[in-house]
Amino acid sequence: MQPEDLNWRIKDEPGETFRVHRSIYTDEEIFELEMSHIYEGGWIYIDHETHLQKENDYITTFIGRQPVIIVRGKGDDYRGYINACSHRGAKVCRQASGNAKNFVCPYHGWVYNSSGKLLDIKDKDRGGFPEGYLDRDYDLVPVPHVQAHHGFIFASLNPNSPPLLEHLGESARFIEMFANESKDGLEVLRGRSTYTHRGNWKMQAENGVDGYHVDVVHASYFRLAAERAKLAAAAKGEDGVKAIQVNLTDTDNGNYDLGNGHVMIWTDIPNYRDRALGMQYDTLEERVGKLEAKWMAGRLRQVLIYPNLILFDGISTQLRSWNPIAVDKTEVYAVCVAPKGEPEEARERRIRQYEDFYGASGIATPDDLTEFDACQDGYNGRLAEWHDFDRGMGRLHLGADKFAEEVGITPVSSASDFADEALYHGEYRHWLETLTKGIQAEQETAHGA
Amino acid sequence: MALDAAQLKEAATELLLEEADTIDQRRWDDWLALFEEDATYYAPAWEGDDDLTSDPHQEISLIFCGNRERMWDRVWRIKSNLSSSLARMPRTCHLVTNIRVSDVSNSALKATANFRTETFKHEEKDSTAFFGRYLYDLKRTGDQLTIQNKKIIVYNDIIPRQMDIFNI
Repeated sequence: MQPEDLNWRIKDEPGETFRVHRSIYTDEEIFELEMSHIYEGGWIYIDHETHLQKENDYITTFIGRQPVIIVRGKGDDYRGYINACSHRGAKVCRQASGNAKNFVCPYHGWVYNSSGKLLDIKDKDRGGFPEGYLDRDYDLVPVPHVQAHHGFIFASLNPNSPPLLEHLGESARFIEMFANESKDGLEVLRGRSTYTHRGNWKMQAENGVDGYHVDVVHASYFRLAAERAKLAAAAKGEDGVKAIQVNLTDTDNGNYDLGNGHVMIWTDIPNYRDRALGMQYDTLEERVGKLEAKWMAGRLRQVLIYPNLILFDGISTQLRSWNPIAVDKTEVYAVCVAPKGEPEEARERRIRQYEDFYGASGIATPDDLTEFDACQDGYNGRLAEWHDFDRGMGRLHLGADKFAEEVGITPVSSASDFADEALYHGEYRHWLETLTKGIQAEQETAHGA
Repeated sequence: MALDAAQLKEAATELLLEEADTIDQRRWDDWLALFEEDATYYAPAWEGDDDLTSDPHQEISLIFCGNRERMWDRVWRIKSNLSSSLARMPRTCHLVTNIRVSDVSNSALKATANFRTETFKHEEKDSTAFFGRYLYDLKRTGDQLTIQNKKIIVYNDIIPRQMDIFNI
């Protein structure tokens, strides 16, 4: 595929329209390019440090299609290796996680240390290996970049990736804000949820920052919450969940294109004192100040860290990441994240609000997944080729609005409405740029070879 | 006259199978009525291969209903016609087997069972299944048995699109 085979699929006419050709969700060749140049060609989110706390703690996972071992070294030093034995390619480590000084390949018994260095070859003396065999480099192939920012671990298989903080850009502000919700940082709670859906991964990246769908898709959730509150009031009892409300007419709200594909939505929460962090609002305000407390506890924030992580801090708190399995299949990993050391009552509130909404066993997420699958089916209607992201285009503000200035970020663009869809322009401009550069780099390599 | 051991096992078996039938036949109010008002319904999440969470107040569960009202929430939503994931309500079939009874007292007993629930999803023209183990605390009131606690351990916990009270 040439860059010109891609370009026409994004119709970017500022002030007029921004349309995407639906083949970007269904084309196998484009999916291959995405895997090579987005997932295996740049920074992606791996995990939270909760799961890698001590030296030599490891997890096994995938970067795109490539199996990797990610290991914690001393302090905040992380490293990673392709999880394939240098001998015959078997996965060296089969466990999901653990702590190990050495990895022994279960196939022929080659031994590596947790720095990926080959320590021993079975039969090295009587194996009849050619001269100099043991001087060759048979260490595990390293992942070029593994780095954490405030406990969020990212990695890149591309040696030429920019520094992590440059990639995170303006989104780093919101990672830092999240991490600072407790003076001791965040922890991921025990209890994981993995789910799949039959839709392209880009719908995951879109929907977590889609304010437009919320009241429609989650009608059953919000009506139920209202019903529950009403019944509790009638019985003079306590609403056991105190679901978070979303009200876009009487609140400040909006969204930002943060650059590099990162985008976010935010809105003030009417009943923010019902949130776990809101229950401690005054103490929080004392520690972090008025503005920071307002953003942390008073405002819902959903931030896409492109391409595979969304920080959810609103209905409850979730880290949602995903890995594309096929052009029409995505696997999603969801965990609840919480400030360390929060009071028991707040923790329970957070957990109940989390389970109520999130996860494929919750009462809201399955409705999202159903919409992704319905879109994927609709995209097979090849005669209906295009859709636009034009909602809000008429009031799009380039650069920072007053809320962005207050919080100290410089977004590419700002929108004054949570439900505006113009933030996707940033996502898809970045997508096109990344794939185009990837194709060009492939061609340079081919010509150089 | 109080039930003997065989009758008690028969009654417990009947209760478990009735519960499965109420769900598959979508008799939601009948399903709720099998539970005590302060019953818990708990499907713990896994943390690792052999590491199952056990404290719903400190850890995330797949589903945790701390009383029957929270179970009613799920029933309300199914009946509401407001959820697109339930717009074409899947057909389900619960197979409940290996039923055993233990810890019998005058007021309570425990029951365990294995389950497999087939879910036929119309949109996907396909079925998926969850399987695992049920652990019940049953309450005895005279000859009547009701469900005080139900714990559902789902062994295959990668969820294709939806897990709810009707398909585990």
